[in-house]
Amino acid sequence: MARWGMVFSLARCIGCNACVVACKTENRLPDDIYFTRTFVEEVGDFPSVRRVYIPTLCNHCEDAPCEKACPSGATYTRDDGIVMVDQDRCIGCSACAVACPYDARSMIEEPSNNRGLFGGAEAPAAEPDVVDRWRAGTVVKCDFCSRRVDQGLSPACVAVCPTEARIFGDLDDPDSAPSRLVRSRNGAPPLPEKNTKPKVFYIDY
Amino acid sequence: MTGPAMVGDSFRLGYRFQRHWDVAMASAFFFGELGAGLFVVAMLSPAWPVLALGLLITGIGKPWFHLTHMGVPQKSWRAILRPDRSWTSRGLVGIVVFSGAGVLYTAAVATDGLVPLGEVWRIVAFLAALVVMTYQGFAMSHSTAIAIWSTALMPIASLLYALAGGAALMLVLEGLGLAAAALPALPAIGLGVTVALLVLQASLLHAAHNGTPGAKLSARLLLRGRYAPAYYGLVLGAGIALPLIALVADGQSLVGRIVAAVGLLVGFYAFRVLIFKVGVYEPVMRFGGIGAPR
Amino acid sequence: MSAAEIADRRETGNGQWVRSHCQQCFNACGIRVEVVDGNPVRIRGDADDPNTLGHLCARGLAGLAKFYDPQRIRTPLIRTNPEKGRRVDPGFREATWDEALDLIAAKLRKIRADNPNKLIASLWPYEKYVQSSAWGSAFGTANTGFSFSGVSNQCANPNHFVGMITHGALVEFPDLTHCRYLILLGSEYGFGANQSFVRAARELADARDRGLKLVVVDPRLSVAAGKADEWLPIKPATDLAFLLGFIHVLVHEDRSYDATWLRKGTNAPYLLGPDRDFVTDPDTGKPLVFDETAGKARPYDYPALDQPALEGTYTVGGVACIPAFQHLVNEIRDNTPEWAESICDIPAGTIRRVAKEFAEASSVGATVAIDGVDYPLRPACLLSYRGLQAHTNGTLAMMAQETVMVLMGALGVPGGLVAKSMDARRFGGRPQLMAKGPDGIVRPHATGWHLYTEFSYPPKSLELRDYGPLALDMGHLVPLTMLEPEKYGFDYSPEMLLIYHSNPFTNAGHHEIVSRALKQLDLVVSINIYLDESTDYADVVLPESTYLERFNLINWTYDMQGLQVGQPVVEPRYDTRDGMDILIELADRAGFLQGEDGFNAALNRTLGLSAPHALSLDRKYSYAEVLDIQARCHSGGERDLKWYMEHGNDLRPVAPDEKYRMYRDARLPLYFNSIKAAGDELRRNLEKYRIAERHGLQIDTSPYQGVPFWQPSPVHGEDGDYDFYVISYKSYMTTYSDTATNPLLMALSERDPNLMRVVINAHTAKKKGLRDGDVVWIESRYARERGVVGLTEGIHPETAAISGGFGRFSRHPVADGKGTLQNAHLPIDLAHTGMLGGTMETVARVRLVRARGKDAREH
Repeated sequence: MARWGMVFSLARCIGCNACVVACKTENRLPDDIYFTRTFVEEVGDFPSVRRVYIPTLCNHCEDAPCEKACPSGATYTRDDGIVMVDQDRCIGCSACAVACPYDARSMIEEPSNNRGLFGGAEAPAAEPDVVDRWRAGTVVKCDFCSRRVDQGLSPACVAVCPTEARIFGDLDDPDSAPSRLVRSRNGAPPLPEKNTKPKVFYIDY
Repeated sequence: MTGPAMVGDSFRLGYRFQRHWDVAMASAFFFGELGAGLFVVAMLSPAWPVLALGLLITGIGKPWFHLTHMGVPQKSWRAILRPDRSWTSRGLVGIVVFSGAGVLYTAAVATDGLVPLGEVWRIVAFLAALVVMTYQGFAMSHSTAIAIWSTALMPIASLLYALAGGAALMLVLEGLGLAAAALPALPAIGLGVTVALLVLQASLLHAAHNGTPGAKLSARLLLRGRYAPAYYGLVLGAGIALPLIALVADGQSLVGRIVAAVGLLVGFYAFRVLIFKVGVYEPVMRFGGIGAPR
Repeated sequence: MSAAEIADRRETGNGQWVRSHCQQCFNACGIRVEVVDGNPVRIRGDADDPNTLGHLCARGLAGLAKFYDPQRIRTPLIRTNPEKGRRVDPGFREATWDEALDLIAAKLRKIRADNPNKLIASLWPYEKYVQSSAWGSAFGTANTGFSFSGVSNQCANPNHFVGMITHGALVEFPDLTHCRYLILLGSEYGFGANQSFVRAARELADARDRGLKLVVVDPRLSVAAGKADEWLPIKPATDLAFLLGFIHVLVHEDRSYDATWLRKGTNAPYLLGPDRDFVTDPDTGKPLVFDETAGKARPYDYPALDQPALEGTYTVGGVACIPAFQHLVNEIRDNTPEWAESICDIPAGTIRRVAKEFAEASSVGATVAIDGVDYPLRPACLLSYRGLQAHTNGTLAMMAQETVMVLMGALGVPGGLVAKSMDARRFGGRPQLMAKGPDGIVRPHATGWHLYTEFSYPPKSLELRDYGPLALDMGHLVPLTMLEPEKYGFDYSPEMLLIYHSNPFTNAGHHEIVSRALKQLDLVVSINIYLDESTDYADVVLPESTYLERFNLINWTYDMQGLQVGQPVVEPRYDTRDGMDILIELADRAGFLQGEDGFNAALNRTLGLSAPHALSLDRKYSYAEVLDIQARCHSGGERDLKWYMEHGNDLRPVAPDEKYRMYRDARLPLYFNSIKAAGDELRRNLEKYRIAERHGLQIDTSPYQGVPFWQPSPVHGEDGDYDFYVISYKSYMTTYSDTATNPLLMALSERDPNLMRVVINAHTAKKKGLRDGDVVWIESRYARERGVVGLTEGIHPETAAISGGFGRFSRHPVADGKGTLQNAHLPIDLAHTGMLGGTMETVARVRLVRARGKDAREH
């Protein structure tokens, strides 16, 4: 069984947001929900200033605080390490959302869940599949596109990334691309002091 | 550079307010702790109407606001399924046990021993009430996400505010003659708990100020940011200074007790709301800071 | 990338996947669209597009919003309210296609019989602008293409013009497989809006992984600058000074140019007489060079020529002359790095160091063998784009860029800048070698392009191309000239405007002039998907289908051949049509579709169609049928449109000898003799027809020189009380302001800290008492627009930056009132127009005044 993980190259990421739009359209996310975000930060003072783009998503922690906080058993970890939310079991208490140090979880609210791209009433009837995909009142997050992964595909954000700044693969396989990069380029997890053991690493920082 | 700042919805790297636990959740916490606190304080001189009031506050107020907050209220029973790891589940178990044992104990008190095993229910209800009074603090302190919550002071705060709330209500109720027997020590207990709250607030701020940047930012929001007026005015002023003055001045008169009780409850509620409001997620990466990449 | 990894990108889903190409900018990236129950539900990159490998940008992925936009125009519309104006409701009524087309065709017939120039055909559907321009030419108007709306505000016009005359490059691409040192000037190649973004981003990231050093010269910490190894903040519109200082280091201090190449591969040794024209051999008429070994002048192609001189002064046939290279050396003598610093604000030491690093990285003399052929290896590129070029001095700046690249021998070789030419490849044909003129100098391909406009008086072109023979586009001048035609010598006044996929209010300048011009026209027709700022002035609006409902067939790569299909993934919604079909229909009804001079014939020429696969001149085709013939023609009958609809593309890399040195033994100009000659000709004509006396028009012919020289932008000398230079820029999430209607992209844009703000330097702001988030009035002599201040460390202290992607004031609820406009502050006049290459000064002077009370709150 694989143990899926992702590596972000901060040198390669140019903040183009292709991943963000791919994720939104892959997962049919309501307008205010993002499973992946690319944060931006200026570092330094004029004229010695540079900009860093920091892609983020659910880190699929080995020691997932969200899972520990979930009272209903809706959040669980698959055998391949993907942390999932079972929408049928989620009661929407948000305990997981305040437990996640990465702010990676969102509550699906009824109004936005029923809005189309252009906002409910005005959306033409022909705009399918965008509306009401999620169960309102539940907490959602990135699942590494488990549906795609199960078909042998990489997550949507990885597939579209123009600079290939997102590298996805099996962390248990020492020869996989992410394993090699974490090893050779000093991969660091986000907020290690939170002791969550993320399966997402940053290189080239 | 000003360094990372509160960034709202923007994609700038920085601190973001937690937005998941809101006023409804704070109200649920408030009523859960208040009812259990009243129940425990009332056990000092148990009269069934007061015990019942404590049970009602916890048993109705808390679920009411929880269900308001809950995304899928019809499935909320599921919250009991993971007591092995989730403080929410443990708390729910505590509430169920508290409600059951509490009703039986109250019935035993009311019927003067007609209900059997009164002493057992008393101990079970007391222990369950302790769980209800503290588990929310454990739920907050257990996760490292919101730095100002991530401290052992959180369950202590829950316990102290529960007791303070209980004492506040009891001061008035006892003043109205609703205790089984007079409790002359009650104003002193109230004073003691209020002083403990003062120590608690100082400790919280001290811990936050010496904590991670997120905790520091939260403390700053309480002391100098947009929440400072509410913190100074309601949590410290109404919630601590006012009861101290009222109880020292005249802890025996009904007016003094009402003033102290209102102050304590306002401070308690304000604390519950503010501690949610100032909770922040820290930036996933810090540049030029502690332990941060270059 | 392994086959397995590519396969990994392939999509599966519940629906049927249809291949097409994106048309939300001009790059034509391969896409696959998932269609469920007749509705497109998802867009992804096409992993079988060898150019993009299935990657796609945010815009491409968000394209469904265009299709599902409730604001789409559903039927032809005809105005009922005679009053035209900004935000004045035209009172459109729905009409049938027949009614609308006949109304337009009647006017077209009348104008064509009278004077075809009275039609302004402003046609800019980027993926097929050459085809649509052919429609205007077939009609017979001189005012076609970018006329009226113009792209000179958005485009790097001189890039195309100077690139073509230098080495046949419509667009230049750094050869990133070999490049080790890249300087970007006012360009975000590989980081955002630019040519081939999706592929360039990957290639540049790979090259940087291999150790490429990136230096970015830009007033603003662009995405490229923010990620670069070194950012050089430059004062706006002074890149020319930076480059002159750079050249000074190469030729005067470091002497690190490729002398061997200059002697045999360029016109650097050609002798110039006192008039700065080539001194020619009396017998052959060929330019002379001075053979140092023989001690005498010889024709440049003299067989036994040994060592043509680059420097020195000679007397040939009694005339004092110098090699073109010596002329450059002389002209650049005073342009020291210290001089450059005083103008462009980049320290002299930095200019010197970067120039030397660049020269060293160029590794003059090195070669590389590719497929058994030795090529020069010049792994250092200087690449500029709109930021450097969209200024009155932009053409001179682009000449300076090419001067550097010619000096190092780095054009068309591995590691250097490779040309995408205007040969038949764009429409599916074979790569074609460049031609060589009798002077030995390269002659570029220019299918469907004009490199030179003949002088005429009275002038024909409302863009004043008659007075600017080399200008690629001065479309922004049309609103100005048509308001006072006599002033510029015109003997006619335009009556009709056809706008197709363009919006004068967001890409021209000064709104009041645009508005007055629009009001003056008898008939304004807009082919559009939504109602926008300009349709408030339209008499007839024809609804176009979106790109997910249209056909196209194109090759937008620079080093591949074959074609990529764009096709309807579903049937067109509502009563909409493909814009090209609308043009065909109009040509048919107005009587200029058929015959030798008709649109069909023009398409045959433009697309390079010849028998047996050519359009008959005596019938009407649908655009799909035209493309079918195009596909058959260029595949030698092997593939038809249906094949492409099924397979998506047949793109494959060209051989190395079809990518590099396509100029072969033709020489590249170090001395831009054709520019000099065009200027001389223009000067003669202006004098002959006494344009200055008759019309009081001072046409500046001084920039028409063979070598670049310093010419300040007018903004540097004006309006001291407007204390900011305001620039505009393109971003990774916008294609001009067209994407401002897309809610997915707008939500992201609004979350960017500064993208929709007017961005200034934090230190400057402190001095002026402005804070982050302040609502301000951005005031210039031409406009007063509201904006929100964004602070950054990453901008030149005197500069304010506004993205060109927002500030729409249309009726579209997603776009309306978000962000602010920069172009409203740009004057439309001759002083702010670079008539040499056709540029608009895109920097203006503004001041920021904090809004008070209601104004500050409403934003």
